[in-house]
Amino acid sequence: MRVQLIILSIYILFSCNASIAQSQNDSIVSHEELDPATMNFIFSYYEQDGDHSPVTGGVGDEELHDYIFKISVNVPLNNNLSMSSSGGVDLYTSASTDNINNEHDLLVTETSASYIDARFYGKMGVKSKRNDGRTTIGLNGGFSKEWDLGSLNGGMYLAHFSKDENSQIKLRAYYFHDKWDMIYPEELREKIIEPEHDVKQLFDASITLTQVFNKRLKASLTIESVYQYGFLSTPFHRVYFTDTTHDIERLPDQRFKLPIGLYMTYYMNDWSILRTYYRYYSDDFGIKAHTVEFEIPLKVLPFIVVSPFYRFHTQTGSEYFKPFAKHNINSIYYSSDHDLAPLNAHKIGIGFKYSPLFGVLNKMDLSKLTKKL
Amino acid sequence: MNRTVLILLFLFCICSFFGCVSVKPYQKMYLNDEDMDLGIRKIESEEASFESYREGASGANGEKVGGGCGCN
Repeated sequence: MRVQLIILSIYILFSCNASIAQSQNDSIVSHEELDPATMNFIFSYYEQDGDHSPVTGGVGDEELHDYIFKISVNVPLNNNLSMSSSGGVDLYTSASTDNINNEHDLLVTETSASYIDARFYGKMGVKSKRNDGRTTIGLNGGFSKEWDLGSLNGGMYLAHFSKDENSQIKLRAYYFHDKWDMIYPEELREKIIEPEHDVKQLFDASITLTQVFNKRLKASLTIESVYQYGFLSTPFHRVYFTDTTHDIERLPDQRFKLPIGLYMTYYMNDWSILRTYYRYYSDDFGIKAHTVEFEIPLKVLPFIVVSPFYRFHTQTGSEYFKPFAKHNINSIYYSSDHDLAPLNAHKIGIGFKYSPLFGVLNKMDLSKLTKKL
Repeated sequence: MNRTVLILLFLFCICSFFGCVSVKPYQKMYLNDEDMDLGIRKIESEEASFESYREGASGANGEKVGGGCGCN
């Protein structure tokens, strides 16, 4: 399998002083300045090619163009409490979902509802610190809506620093509730055996330990457990059998995932930093994966950082995956989605960050402009 | 699987307890550098989403592990 991906992201941070809190009694006047309110603007463009679309059974065009606009705002309400919200829209064209109604003529580009689509999403959160500043509790909730699926989510986290602030433990829990509009491939709509569920739920819990090792080195270890339940297939993914008949993708209604991630950053010298990441992943679909990533931000000028990076991912395939027309019709579960296939992926690129000390507009509020290729 | 979890946890704990020195707040100039942050940067979150859609693995990077279709 070969898929080429191109991603371009631009990130702008806008910040301003939120307010000044003042308290007064007979003899003392004190001024406490809050952290600045911040607003982030992110624009991303993503492009992929490939010819293993699961919509057409593991063959067919995967071309995708995605334009992402996202805004997030963080406002401190007082020294211990802050609120955040974010929202955005993805506008995308997808050659694969365009073939939901078009089984046989894969080279014809339709202009159906799925040819150009949008995904909207939003999120709100509140974060509270205890007076000693060492313990933080956060709550958040959000939604997303796209043409075939609506999603609601909520979560909370608790983070606690050690007395010397060199160690931190963070506990996080999330819940996602996704409701499908069960849109099947056109030719199967009349004869499909309806799945038991049209909802998928996800329960996610993680623990992260962060440790400062010395003045230049720190690391964090995250152990996460994810349990999914419900309709875990995609209703318009086709699977072709060895006898040339076909059906929609069928997967078990439960999945347990266990990813473990280790981040480490090392300040090598005044002009370079080493960032590394390793992840081990295992699930009960039979996938085991290893991911490693290296990045070396180079401070070529005080306000310019150039960051070459390399990422490698390898995984074994799921027991439910077989390529186009290789599945046995007597199987209970089957998929030709190449996400579940054995694969090796390499990613190489370079990031560019321009962040002048007083902002790009000279002492104005616009303080960061980041571009990544 | 369990062995890998235990080995990573054990190594991390050993390093945490024996391999580190107490760093005072005024000695954290290097550690507080923006590029020393652990985890995914804001600008990388969309990229991480695409990777989770294209690969069978996700999670343990501070990003969300569910929600949405990602079926293109």
